[in-house]
Amino acid sequence: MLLTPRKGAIGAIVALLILAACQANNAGTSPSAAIQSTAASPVATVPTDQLKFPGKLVACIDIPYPPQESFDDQGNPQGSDVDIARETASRLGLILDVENSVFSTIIPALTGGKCDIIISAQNINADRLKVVDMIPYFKAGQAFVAAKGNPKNIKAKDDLCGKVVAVQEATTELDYLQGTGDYKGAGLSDGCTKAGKPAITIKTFVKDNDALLALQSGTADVYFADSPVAGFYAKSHPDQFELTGLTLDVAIEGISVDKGHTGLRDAVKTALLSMINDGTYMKILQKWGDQDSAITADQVNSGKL
Amino acid sequence: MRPTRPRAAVALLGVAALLLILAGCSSNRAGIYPYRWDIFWDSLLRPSPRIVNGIWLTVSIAVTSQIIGVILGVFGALGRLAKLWPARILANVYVWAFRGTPLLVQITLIYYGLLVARIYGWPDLVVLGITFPGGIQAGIFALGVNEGAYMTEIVRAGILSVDPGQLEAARSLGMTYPLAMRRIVLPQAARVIVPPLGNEFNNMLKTTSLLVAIAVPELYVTFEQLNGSGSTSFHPFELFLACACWFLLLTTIWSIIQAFIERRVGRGYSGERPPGLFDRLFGARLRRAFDPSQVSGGR
Repeated sequence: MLLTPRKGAIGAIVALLILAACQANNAGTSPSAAIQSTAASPVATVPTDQLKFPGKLVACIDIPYPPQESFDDQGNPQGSDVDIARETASRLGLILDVENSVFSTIIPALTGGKCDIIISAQNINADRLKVVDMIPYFKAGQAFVAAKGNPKNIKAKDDLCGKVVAVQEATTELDYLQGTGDYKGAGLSDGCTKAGKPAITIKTFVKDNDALLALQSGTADVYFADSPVAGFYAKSHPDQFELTGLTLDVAIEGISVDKGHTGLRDAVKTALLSMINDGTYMKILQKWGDQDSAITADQVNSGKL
Repeated sequence: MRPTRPRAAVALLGVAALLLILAGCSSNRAGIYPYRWDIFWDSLLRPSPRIVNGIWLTVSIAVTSQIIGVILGVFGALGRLAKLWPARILANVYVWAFRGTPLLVQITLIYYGLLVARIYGWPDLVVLGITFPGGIQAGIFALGVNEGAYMTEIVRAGILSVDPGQLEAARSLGMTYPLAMRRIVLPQAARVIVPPLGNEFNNMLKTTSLLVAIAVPELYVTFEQLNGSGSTSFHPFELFLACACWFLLLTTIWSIIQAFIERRVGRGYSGERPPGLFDRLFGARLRRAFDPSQVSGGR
């Protein structure tokens, strides 16, 4: 069949659209990383076969979850997790690439080979450790945000009974509410029913910011998330939100690595320890107001608080 | 009959009234919710590169997926109408499965399901130095395959609308089946296929937003992200109103293109002209009562 001008034109348009798709996405997710290289030579080397791309460290992050991860106005990822990942990469002689992910499928994204590590405010728990290795790097409690003035008067666990709680899917907060995972038999809602009080109505959302939206719009009474995040939202939108003062269970968050990639796991741990020891780690956390979430080198090694 | 001017005036009045009601509500509630109308106007009139990228991504994903859908639809329809039973079963199962399950489930299964089971890793493709991310490939694939199931039924209806005598005549002239399909049946079927096809593409433009499940930053996802963080965060009313306006603009532009295409495909047929742009936007006008005497003019 001959290539008529019209067919050629259609082909050209299709090709252009496909190219546009690629470029559009590139601009959206992979910002030009401004790396402040502190280490002259890599503190450890990562076996090349344990990296998705040679010379790159691809991190899966579920954005937004400020101050740990968010987008700036140009759409570039920022936050303490992003800075820790970037510093880790540069100490390993690599360049950081961020793959924006969805929290409920972020572990499949890692084990399926879309990224090398997950650094996304993930608590270390038994369910996750079955699938991935986790390096402790951060600690956080779990806190509740209410509308301004705390109209439902939530001060203690008992006050949650009969209320509507908005929470992100696949989080330890959701486990805590419904008594699954590490909270088997200790669920907050079960606690209510056992005490003869009405159960908690749990509303789950794929993206964390949609859970906060539920609180903002009044369809939920409280929003439940990690304490740094809850604190950030209360502080950045004082006209709309406030912390309830109820903070539960401080837990350790970890950087996840595929179970087979022990070389990568050890290298990331070495890089993390080196930035804790020279103070860069603390500087990053201070920059984002996360200094209370710092853990020590001993805690990184032991995995216990 | 062309649309009359009073009709246009009524439609415009309706839109104006709606805007007035919105404005009225917003002034009443200003104390409760801190309106930021600058966010709305900025994202509409001075879209940031992120929004422009989102628009491009939505349009290019929709076009590519629709093309895949049409190609699959033609083969699906030929399969469903084939004499060969394996082809028929294959096509029937395809339509049954992809029309019978939610698209969101298909997208998640095709991307994360295949990833985790290590069946297909959706690696990023690099073409001419430009990376083509796995998520976008999976999204286009899922939307295209799903669309193909619907297009199968549309194309099948189109083929059935062509008098079987046309195919018989072509065959008796010595044309092979594929040639007769390509030269005789499908061009005539096109007139019936094109209006619902346009409908499907209109849908496709909006359905791309389901790719939020696999974090493809198309138009809706971009606004979702703008609402999630940065200086525009937590202004969903202004942001999603602007997002809706962008989608409305895209589908409106498509309506104009569709009207043009339908006129072109429908030329050579007598009868009423296809509805114009105005009818398309504000509802079809009443058709003249169907008069059978005009069609069955005796044999």
